[in-house]
Amino acid sequence: MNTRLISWAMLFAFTAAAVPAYARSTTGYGSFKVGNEGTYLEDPYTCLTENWGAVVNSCTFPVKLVFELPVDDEGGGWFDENQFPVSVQAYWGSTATFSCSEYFYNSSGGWNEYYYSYSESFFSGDPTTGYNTSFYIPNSNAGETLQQGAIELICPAVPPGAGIANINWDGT
Amino acid sequence: MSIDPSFNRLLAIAAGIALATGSLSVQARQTTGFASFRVFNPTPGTSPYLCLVEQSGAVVNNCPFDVTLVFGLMSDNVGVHSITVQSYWGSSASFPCTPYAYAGTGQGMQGNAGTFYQTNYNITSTSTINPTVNVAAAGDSIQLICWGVPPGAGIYTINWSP
Repeated sequence: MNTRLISWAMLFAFTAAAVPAYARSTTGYGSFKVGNEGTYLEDPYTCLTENWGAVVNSCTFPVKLVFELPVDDEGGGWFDENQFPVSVQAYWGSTATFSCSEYFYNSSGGWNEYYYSYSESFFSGDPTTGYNTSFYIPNSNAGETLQQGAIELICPAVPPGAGIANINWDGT
Repeated sequence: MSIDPSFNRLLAIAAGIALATGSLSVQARQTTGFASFRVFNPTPGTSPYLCLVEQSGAVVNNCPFDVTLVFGLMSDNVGVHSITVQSYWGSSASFPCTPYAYAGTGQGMQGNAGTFYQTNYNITSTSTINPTVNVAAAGDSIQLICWGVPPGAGIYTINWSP
């Protein structure tokens, strides 16, 4: 066995491991909550179903879905970034169109101290590959580095048959 | 057999950087059962959310029927993820839990399941299983599904490598 080869392999492993991983991932079904529950004629929790990780609206009416996207505070109550890119995969089994927005709530500000993604991206699912849509907090919104806060993704009216499969974001 | 001393220094520096950034430390993420559960495809006409109760963090099935529970496990890295699941201490029921990694396109990978075979139950003794699942590609997401959790049984905590 070549000792130098082993050492090179170790060096590669160490340096590869040292590169921080910025992607955090969750399934739609593992992270959703119903928004405005109590305003529906039927409890949406009884008709939102799971399909390979996706939360699918099997109700007969549109449902507001809210997803919490936890981020790690790196210390000092400030984040390094002023943007928080979020990538959303729609449920592959529908071609319905709907919108989602990303919200950043500043925990040290007042009740209205929040930022959101201006461009609500509409998407329709691709039956075979799904569909990716990206959101981020624009610079013009966030100013400089954001203070400690929390992020949500809100899809205010997911149509019957549509849903969210996976969500990826910068969690560190 | 010898190694160039300068290469050894480089190796040590790389290891130091890796350790300093915490990438080689053992990291774990943890949640309670009640804070993280979802019901898997409720049978029409039933409302399991009305009879799943919290007890010291555990989600306990107080329904008169079996309920399948889903837990989303946020992950940051590809590779094999170790999971430790503690069952609710107040039941001796048996049921399996299976982890999955989903690509978000109707495809995924099933991990190694674990099954609770709890023979003794009391407040100081929970049963533990250690399923694993491999996240093959960046962006794939992990779910743990506990199939057919019987009445009286439940999940206390879940701990996993993110």
